Amino acid sequence: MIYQYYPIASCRMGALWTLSDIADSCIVEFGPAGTTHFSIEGMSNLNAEPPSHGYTTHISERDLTFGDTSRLEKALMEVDQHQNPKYIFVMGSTLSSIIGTDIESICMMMETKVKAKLIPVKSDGFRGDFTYGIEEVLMLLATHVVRSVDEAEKKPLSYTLVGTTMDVYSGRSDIRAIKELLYNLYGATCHTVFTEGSSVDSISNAAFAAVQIAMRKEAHKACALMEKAHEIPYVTALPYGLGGIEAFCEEIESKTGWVRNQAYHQTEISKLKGIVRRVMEHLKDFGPLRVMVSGNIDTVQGVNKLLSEFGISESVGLVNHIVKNCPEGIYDQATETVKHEVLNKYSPDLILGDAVLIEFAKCRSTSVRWTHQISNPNLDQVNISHQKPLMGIEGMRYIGEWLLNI
Amino acid sequence: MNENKAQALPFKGSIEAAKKLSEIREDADIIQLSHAIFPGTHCPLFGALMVSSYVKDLAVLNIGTEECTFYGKDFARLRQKGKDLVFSLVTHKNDITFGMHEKIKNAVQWIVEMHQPKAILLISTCVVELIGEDVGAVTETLESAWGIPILFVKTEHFKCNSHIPGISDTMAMLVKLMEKKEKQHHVINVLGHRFDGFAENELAKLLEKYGVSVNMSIPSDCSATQLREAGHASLNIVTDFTALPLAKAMAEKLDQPYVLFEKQLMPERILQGYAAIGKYLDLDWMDEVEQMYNHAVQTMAFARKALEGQRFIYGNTPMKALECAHFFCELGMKALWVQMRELYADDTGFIADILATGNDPKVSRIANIIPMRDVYDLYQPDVYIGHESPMILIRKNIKQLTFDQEASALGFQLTLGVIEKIKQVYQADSSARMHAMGSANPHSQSHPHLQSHPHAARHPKDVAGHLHGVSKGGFA
Repeated sequence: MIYQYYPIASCRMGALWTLSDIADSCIVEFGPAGTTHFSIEGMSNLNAEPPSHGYTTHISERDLTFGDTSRLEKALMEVDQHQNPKYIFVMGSTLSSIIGTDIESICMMMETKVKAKLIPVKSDGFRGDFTYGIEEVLMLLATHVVRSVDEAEKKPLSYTLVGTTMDVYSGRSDIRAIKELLYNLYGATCHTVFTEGSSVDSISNAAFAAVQIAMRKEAHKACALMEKAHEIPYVTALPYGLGGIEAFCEEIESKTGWVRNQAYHQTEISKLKGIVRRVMEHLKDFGPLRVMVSGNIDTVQGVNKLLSEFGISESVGLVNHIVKNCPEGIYDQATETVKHEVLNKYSPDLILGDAVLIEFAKCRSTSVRWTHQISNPNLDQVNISHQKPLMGIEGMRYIGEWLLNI
Repeated sequence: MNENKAQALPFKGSIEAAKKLSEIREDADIIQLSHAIFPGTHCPLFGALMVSSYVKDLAVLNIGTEECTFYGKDFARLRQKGKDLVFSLVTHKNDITFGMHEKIKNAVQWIVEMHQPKAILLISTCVVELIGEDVGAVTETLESAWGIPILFVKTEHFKCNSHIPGISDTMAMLVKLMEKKEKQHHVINVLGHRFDGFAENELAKLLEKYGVSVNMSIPSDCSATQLREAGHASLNIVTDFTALPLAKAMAEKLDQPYVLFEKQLMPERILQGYAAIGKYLDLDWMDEVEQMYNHAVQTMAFARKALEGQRFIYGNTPMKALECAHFFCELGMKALWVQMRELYADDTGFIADILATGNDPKVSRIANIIPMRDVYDLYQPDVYIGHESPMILIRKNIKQLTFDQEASALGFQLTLGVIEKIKQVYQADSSARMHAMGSANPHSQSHPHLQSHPHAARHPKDVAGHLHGVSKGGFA
C-alpha cells in the first residue's frame, strides 16, 4: 500500500501516544534513537506537547547481531536510580522485535535490580494498528498502576474518563464538555483521565471514582478490568447528540444512582431542541445533503448520530483503523485509496473528517461544498482551543453552529 | 560551585568522567553522559528526506515501518510547506518473510503513472535493511521499465549515530542524474546549502557582482531535470562538509574542481574561503572582501568588550560545533562544555584554535539533555547555545541562543547575523530583568525570582547595556 500522506499509525505509535500524555510517566525504548526523536517531534502533528519522560537506548548493529540487551539493562538501572519513578514502561522496537528480544523476560530479570515496577509493553509495531497500542496501554495502567482503595474512601460523586488520548482531535474539548455536563447535571467531578493531561499518581488513584466512562471502544477492556478488580461500574454510551446525551445520562444513573438536576436538564435540552429546529430550517433550502464523516469509530458513529438529529441522515463513515464487525455504511481501515474511492462513489456535499480526506476533496473536482476538520491525521491545523467538542451539550451547539454557517 | 547541590546531582559521576577537549584524540573519547538518552540523535532517514525533498521533480519512496513513514512524511511536508513529493511504502510483518520487491515495483508504477516524476529515489530504512531486503537490486529493472533514473539510498540508524550519513549519501547519489557538459566560464554550482533563498546570500550577491552566475544550488534550489545540466559549471563551491562526497563524485564524473566555503563564523576562515574561490575563478574581489572582513573583525572586537567572561555551554547549531565554539571563545566568552555529534577530520585544527584561546571545555555527545541539566547546576553557565526547554533555562537564569534563522547566511553575513542575535537576546534578557526588578516592591533585592537564581548576583556588569552601547557605536 502506497501513501501520499500518512499510513495508518501502528500499535507502537498508539502505545506511545497514550503513555506520552501522562505527565510523569517514564518510558524506556530499546531501539534506534532516530525513531524516538522522530516520534517526539511527530506528536506536534497531533497538536500535542508530550509532557512525559521518554528515553531511548539507541541500538547498534552489534546489539542486533549478538542479541545484546545490556544497553537496555543499564538504561533501566540508570533511570531507576536517577529519576526514581514508581513505574518504568519498557518498550521494544520493530528492530528488537525482529531479532526476538523478549522485553517481558528482561523486565522479570531486572525486577530485583530496580526499585521501580517495570511494565513491559508488547506493542512493537507489528501487532496491529494504533488502536491495539491504545487498548494495551490502558489495560496495563488498569492492571499495574491503579491501586485498590477501601469502600469508605471512594468519592461517590466522582468519575474517571478512560480512553481520551492525544490522537483524538476533539479530545481535550470533549473532556471539558463532559466535565461541564456532569457537574451541571449531578454535581459530579472528574477524578482522573486516562490519559490526556494526567499523571501517574492521578491514575493510580482512579479507584476512588464512583463510575468510569469509556470514552472509546479501546477503553472497554481496561474499564472491565477495573470493574472486576475495584468494583467500579463503567458506562459505554457516549453523549453525541440529544439521543446520545439521554442514553449517556440514563446509563450513568443506572450505574450510580445519581439524580439529575431536572431544571438544568430541561432548560438545556429545550435550548438544544431550539437549535435543532433552527438548523433544520436553515438546511431545508439545500435539499437532502450527503455527508462523509471520518475519524475513529466512536467519532464517526457519534457524529453520524448527531447529524441525523439535524436532519442529515444520508451519511457514509470512514474509519481510520480496523473495526471488528464493522457496521453497514462505514468503511474501516480507510487508507488513502479507500478515501479516493469513497469520495468518487458518494460525491458528498459535506465532509467532517480528517485533514487528508479534506485535502483530497479540495484537490479533486468533487461535489464537496463544505468541509470541517474534526479528526486526525492532521496536516497544518493548529488545534489549541478546548472549546470545540463533539460530545455533550456544547458538542451539539458547536456542530449546530457550523451547520448554521454553511 | 554549590558543593551541597553538586553532591545531590545524579549524573555527577559521568559528568566528571567526560573528557576535556585537550584529551580528545578520537571519536570514542567523546562519551555519552547516560545510557538512557533523551531525545536522541536524528537518524539518516531524516537526513535523506531533508536533502531529497528539496529536489523538484524527484519523487521519493520512503520504505519502512509506519513510524518511519508517518513521521518522515510529516517532517518533509513541514520542511517543504506541503510541496514535497515524498511517498510512503509500509513494511508489514509478512514482508519480512516474503520480501518487498513486488510491492516496490507496484509502488513505483503508481508514482510514475500518477505523478510523472523525472526520477525516483528509493529510501530503505532500519527494518528493511535488517531483514536484508536488497532494494538496490530492483533499480535496474525499474529504470528499464519506466525510462527514468531510479536512485537508492540506505538509511539504517543501527550502523551510525546521526543523520549525517543520510545527508551525505543522498547528496552523493544525485550525481547519477548529472551528465558531462561543456564547461561555461564563470558559472558555478553550490553544493550542500540546505536553506531556501540562496540568491539572497552574501556569497551569491558577491558572485553576481563579479560576473559569476550560479548554475544551481544543490539541493536547496534544483530539480531532477536541472541536475542534468550541473556539468556546465566550471567550479563547485561546497558550503557544507556533507556535500564533499558529492563534490568528489562530480569531480570524477564531470571533471569539475571544487572549493570549500563552509558555513563558518571566524572572519579569517571566511576570508580564506573567498580567496580560494577568487583564485579558482580569477576574480579581483579581495579589496572588497577585505573591507567586509575588517568590518566583521571590528564588530567582533566591539562585541568582545561586552561578552568578555560570559560562560557558555554549546549544545547544537546548524554550524560545526567546534568552529562555532571557537568563534565564541574569540568573542572573549568562556567555553565550559561542548556537545558534539562526532569527531570530524578537520576538528583537530579547531581543537587547537580553542585551546589557544585558553579554553579547555569538557566534551560529551549531542542530543542527550537530561544529564546536561546537572551540568547547568554544576557549571552555572550564563548562556546555552542550542535547543533546550526555554522554561528550564529561564528557571536556572540561563540565556538561550539559537541560530536556526541566521544559519541560512554564508560568509561574513553569518558572523554579523550571529552577533546581532546575541545582542538581541542580551537586550531582551536585560529588559526582562529590569522589568522583574521594577515590578517588585521597594525591597527588590529580595525579589524571589532573582533570589532563587544564583546567577542574578553573578552579573557585576550589565552585558546588554554594553551591547546596546556597542550597537550605537559599531553595529548600527
